[in-house]
Amino acid sequence: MKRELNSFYERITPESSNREFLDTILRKAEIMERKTNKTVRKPFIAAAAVAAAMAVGTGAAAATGLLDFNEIFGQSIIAEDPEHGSSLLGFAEEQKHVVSNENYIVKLNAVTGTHASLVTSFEISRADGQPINNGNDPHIDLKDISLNNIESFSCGSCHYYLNDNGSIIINWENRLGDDLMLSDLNSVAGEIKTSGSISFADHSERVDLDWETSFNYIPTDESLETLTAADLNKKITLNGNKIDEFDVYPVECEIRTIKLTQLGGVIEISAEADEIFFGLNHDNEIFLIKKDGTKILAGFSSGYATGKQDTVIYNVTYYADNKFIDDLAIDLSDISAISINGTIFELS
Amino acid sequence: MNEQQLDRYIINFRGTVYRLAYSYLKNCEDAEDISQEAFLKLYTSTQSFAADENVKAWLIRVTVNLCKNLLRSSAYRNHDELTNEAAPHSPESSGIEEYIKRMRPEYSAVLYLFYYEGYSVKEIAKICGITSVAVRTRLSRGRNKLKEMLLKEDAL
Repeated sequence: MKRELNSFYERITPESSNREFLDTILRKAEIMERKTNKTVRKPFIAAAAVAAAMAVGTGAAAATGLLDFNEIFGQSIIAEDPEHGSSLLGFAEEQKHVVSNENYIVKLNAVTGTHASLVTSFEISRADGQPINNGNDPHIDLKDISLNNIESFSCGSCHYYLNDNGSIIINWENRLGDDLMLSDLNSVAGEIKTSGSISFADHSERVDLDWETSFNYIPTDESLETLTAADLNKKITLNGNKIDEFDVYPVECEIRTIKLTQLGGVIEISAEADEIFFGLNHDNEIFLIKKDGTKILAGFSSGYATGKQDTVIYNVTYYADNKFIDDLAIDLSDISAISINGTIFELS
Repeated sequence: MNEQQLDRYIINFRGTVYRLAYSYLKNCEDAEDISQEAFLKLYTSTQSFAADENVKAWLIRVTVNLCKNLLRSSAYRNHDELTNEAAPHSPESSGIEEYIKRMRPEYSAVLYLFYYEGYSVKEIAKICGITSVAVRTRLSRGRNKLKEMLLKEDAL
């Protein structure tokens, strides 16, 4: 059977030549670049993207990497920036969700994105907890979706579907370079509104639903304290995973920079070329050490390529009682050192 | 990434990306579109890669995500229904091809990654974002159906 399958797959080949394919990619990249250049570039573009994301939603989002809806939002609005660590940008207060039909709930699940696009995810479910059943009438019609009148449905791309749990998921992507000026959103303080309308079937009945979500966005200008490690360039061993290998293995590294803020930090790591890794295992042991010797548990979270050869930057997250708390802030004046897998780095 | 690097990655991995996309989408045009999108993402990505195998793994992951997103979109589903109705049976298609075309995308993708690309169950679970148990189930069901079909062909 393996032979037949492989013979089948061998016959699946693209029609165009590699040269034509390469030309197409280069042409598309050029068009993309032209569009991106139309946007006013800001030095803090990654943080700004998250700030914009937060202006739509509530919480933190990774500003680079693949678009995965795995960020769960709290009240604080935090930017993860590879150079400056996590920063508190503001707060979301007085969240309101208004739905035209009280039998349904609309939630803003997540906002995430990159410097070039912003994806917002809504979830529509039944208030009684039962799954939406669209039976023989699977047609879902999203009629409108907007954000503070800045963006209209026609400007982005929207994917919507009924998931396995019987909730309608709407993933709304805006390409920032084309349509949405970050500065438009970033300067918005006060009430932020999103609204939409949709029609779908539930237990053989058509439902027309309008919704509106809103909250007060309160940006903060508070500049955060930062600690930097005084003694660096020590060699340490970290536990890593290669993306294409799933076993944990030791990686000999050097720590280049360590910066900590009240809300999180960043660690820049370099390793030999053949040891570059894309995942640091959770069992790497990081503690912030207080002046009285007590410890605060921390851990590596998302990583970013620095652009420099063989170096990556990892964000550091703090934990309280072994649990991640998204708005946990620590008192930096009380921290004297950081321990990474038993190696101590003094902080200044 | 420069043009020469992109060219090399296209030569080395375009087939893998295309076949994977085809396994999900079952038609050449969409497989080509997804391949273009995946390589465009690679070209414009700021990610650094130490080895070609890392690039391959990255491309596979991106391709899986792109295919899933496309399959979820209602525009694609409507288009797919229309094209399926209009598509005539291809007389030169082999039995296995016809069967794989009818197979659910998540099953055919798992078969492709396991048999052709040689990934382990654990690796496929990670790539596709599903559990190892789900990978084993899909492999087992896919295998049984194929076996059944091949035996029938032999009997004819």
